[in-house]
Amino acid sequence: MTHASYWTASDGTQLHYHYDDFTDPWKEAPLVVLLHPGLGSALRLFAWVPHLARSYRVVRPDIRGHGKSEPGPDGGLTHERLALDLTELVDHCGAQRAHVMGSSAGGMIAGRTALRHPQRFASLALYAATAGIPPSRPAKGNWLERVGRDGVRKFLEETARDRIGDASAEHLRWYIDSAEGVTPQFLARFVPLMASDDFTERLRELEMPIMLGVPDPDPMVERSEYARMREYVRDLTYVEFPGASHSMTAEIPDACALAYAGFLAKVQAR
Amino acid sequence: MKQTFTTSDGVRLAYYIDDYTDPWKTPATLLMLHSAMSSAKRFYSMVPGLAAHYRVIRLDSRGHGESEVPPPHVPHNRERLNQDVLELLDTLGVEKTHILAGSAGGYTGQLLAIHEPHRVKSLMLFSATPGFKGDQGKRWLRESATRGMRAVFGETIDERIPVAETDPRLVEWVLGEICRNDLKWLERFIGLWTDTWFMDEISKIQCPTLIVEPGAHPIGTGSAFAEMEQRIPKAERIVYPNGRHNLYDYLPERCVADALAFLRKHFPEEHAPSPYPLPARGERVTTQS
Repeated sequence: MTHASYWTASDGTQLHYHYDDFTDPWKEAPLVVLLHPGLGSALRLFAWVPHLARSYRVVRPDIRGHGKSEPGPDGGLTHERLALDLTELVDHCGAQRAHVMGSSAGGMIAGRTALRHPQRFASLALYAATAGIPPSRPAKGNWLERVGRDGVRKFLEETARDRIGDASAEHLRWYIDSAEGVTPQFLARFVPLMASDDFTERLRELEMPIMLGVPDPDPMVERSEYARMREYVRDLTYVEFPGASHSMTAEIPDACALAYAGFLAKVQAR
Repeated sequence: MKQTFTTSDGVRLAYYIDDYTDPWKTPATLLMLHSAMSSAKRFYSMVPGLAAHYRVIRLDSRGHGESEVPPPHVPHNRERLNQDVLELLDTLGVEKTHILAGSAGGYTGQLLAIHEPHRVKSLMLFSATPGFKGDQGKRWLRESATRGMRAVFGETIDERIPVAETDPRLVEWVLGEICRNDLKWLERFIGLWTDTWFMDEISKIQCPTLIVEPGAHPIGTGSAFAEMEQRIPKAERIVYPNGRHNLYDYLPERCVADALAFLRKHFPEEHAPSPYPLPARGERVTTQS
């Protein structure tokens, strides 16, 4: 069964998600949540679905302010609110716990949610995602200033090479189109929130199995950031993707999803 | 997600589209046609594997699944079943399609390849011969009318799925799905195919054709598969040793793998590798606990 639907979060915001389920109808299949990167939408992760949806119910939310999800009230964007968006969605899908994969900023949301609500996580996977954005990173590329001045499309076009490597022109156009929905106004709230609160050292509090999927080297993230995360994760599966770009989850989705399916199978077998 | 259209003789049919191919490319279409007493839903386990490479369309054939049961006065014949498929393809703007079919869905698949060759790119036939001769079908219907479908198909389920080797919940689910069907409609639908045998016509099938034969031959005419391979010019045949009739229900992964291997061989252009070599460079995995 597949559908795309709206649901209402507890603060009244209309949020959107895609749902794909080809599991055996007599089984209660585990839930997998795939969180897209910032400046993206759930569309970015479509190619992961066929690798996962025979064994798992796969839900791909549009993070609030992205895709078809509303941004929510001004001043209402907090780490706790983003965490609730995730746990309430898991409730909405009728699950106690979920395997959660987050890509880049989606991974930061997933990681912070895992610290707040660890009992809702069967596992956590972070692809090209650090535990927060060091203050130097967005400033380095003048992100917000450029997005505010030029718009999301132009900003993505100009930084495309670091994000999605040597993708074909058509692939690149789709990559930019699939950011449709997010606005500079929302990003002015979202990016500083993502950059606040580095939780690298708090990763040691997490007991669930954790996978780190890391582009080697990541053109947008210092190697040392990932190396630091490795030190603090207790139950770690670390997968490097040589030559991948920062938006690896949309650049080489099959390789990413296959590695993730392997991780999930291992976790499920425990 | 279910979609519907209304045929030229006024019957509302349901269909489903699944497509996980790259949105910036134009995928080829693969149409799945289910057997008698089945529905598009029963192909669920084959969809992800196929829809990663093809735009997959599944039709609930008239009187089955979420499609309307035609009223008794609406004529029923094999041309009408062909027409349903052609009208669906027209509705969706599909000029030409691959057809993957199980059993009776494959009767229509073959007849389309014979009579509308320009609409069919390839045929993948699972447990499908050119019609269904013999009195097996009539016996199911006669006995179901007196003893109920559950009793009749429960007793003979091992012809469809090897019960001893299969998750009992799958067996139970398939049986439940079989018994949801409208018996009066099945009398018309199976009745039509029971009186049909078109082995003499299949030499006209020009497209590449994959014949998957259930080795145990529990239903229909077992010797027909080898004869089909001889008669259809571009046929190839795979036998699943000791296979039962409903291969598509209990061996979905194997069916998908064989279908994709066949498609890759005959239509390599539909399986173009990624333009850049990243995935091939592989990954380095380290685990620490």
